[in-house]
Amino acid sequence: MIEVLGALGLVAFLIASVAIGVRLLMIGSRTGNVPELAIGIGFVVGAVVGYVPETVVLSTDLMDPQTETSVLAMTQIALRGAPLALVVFTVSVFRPSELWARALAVSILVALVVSWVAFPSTRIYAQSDVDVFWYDVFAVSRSLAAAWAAAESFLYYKRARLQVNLGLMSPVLANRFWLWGVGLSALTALMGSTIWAALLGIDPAVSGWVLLESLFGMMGAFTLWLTFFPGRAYKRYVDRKWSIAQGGPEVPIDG
Amino acid sequence: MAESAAFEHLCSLLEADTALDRLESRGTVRILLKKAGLTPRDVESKQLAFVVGKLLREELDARGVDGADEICERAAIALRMLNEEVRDNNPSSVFERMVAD
Repeated sequence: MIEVLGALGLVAFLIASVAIGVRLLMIGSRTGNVPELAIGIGFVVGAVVGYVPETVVLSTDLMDPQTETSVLAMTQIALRGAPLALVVFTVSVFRPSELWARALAVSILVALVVSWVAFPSTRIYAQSDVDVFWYDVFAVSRSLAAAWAAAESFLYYKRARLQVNLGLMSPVLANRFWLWGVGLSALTALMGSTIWAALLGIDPAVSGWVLLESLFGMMGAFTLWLTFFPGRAYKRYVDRKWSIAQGGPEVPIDG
Repeated sequence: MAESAAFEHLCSLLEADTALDRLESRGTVRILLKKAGLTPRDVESKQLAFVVGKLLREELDARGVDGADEICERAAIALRMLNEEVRDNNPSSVFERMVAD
């Protein structure tokens, strides 16, 4: 039962990632816009080439040890590609001309590449403290990429609320920045869960930890899904909530 | 960091139409944008014209500028006529076009 509940969040996140990624890849390939392409590639590659084969290797005996090593090395490239794509999105949308943002992006890129060269596998395959160190460099770097993206979105949401107050932006569009921030916060927690478990001295395989990870997965899947597929009912809910907060009539849906 | 054409345009208008000097004009517009949740780098002329209509008068009154109504009207018209290059990938437009309707 615990295994099923534990898998639920990760499966939900996987489904949401593929759906969002495919949608954005379709938009991006039509328009050629960097942000859509970056997120589309990041979600699809991270889920399909990274997460799924890694889970197959770690949870089944379908492959011989040599194939497992090669597949894990490939998944580790994909799992680094996803946060890099997120960094490209963050810089191109929120910080296109800031030098510090480019420097941070390059630092994350270097950390991800060097950690792969030093140890192209996952934590449970680590055979020395040095391997563990490089895996942790990878885990921290990708968490940082997601945390940065979440922080930028929350910062923009603060400004978006002012724009909504003036009538410059719809409540639904402003809400998207909050949803994206919450979704990426959950992703940050998920990506950094192995590090937190190690720091707290908890075995990440214990049921409580697995359920916590599953919860992050579900939260991320739910909010990211609402970001890109809000549906009319959710839009109405956001508009109504905003209208009640303002003490005025319902605003039209235009997000 | 380069400011947008709309920001520069409004600053120049205020400097020319009021007794505010360059620093005061730019400061006034920055305060205006902060209140509206916009940035000097990203603000577009249409947005700024809207903000001018809503908030500029109050800012000019606070600085003792005479004829605030006429100045606001002239500034809004000038901004609406401005034909600037707009950044495609600003956060609002990206999050608007990425979502399924």
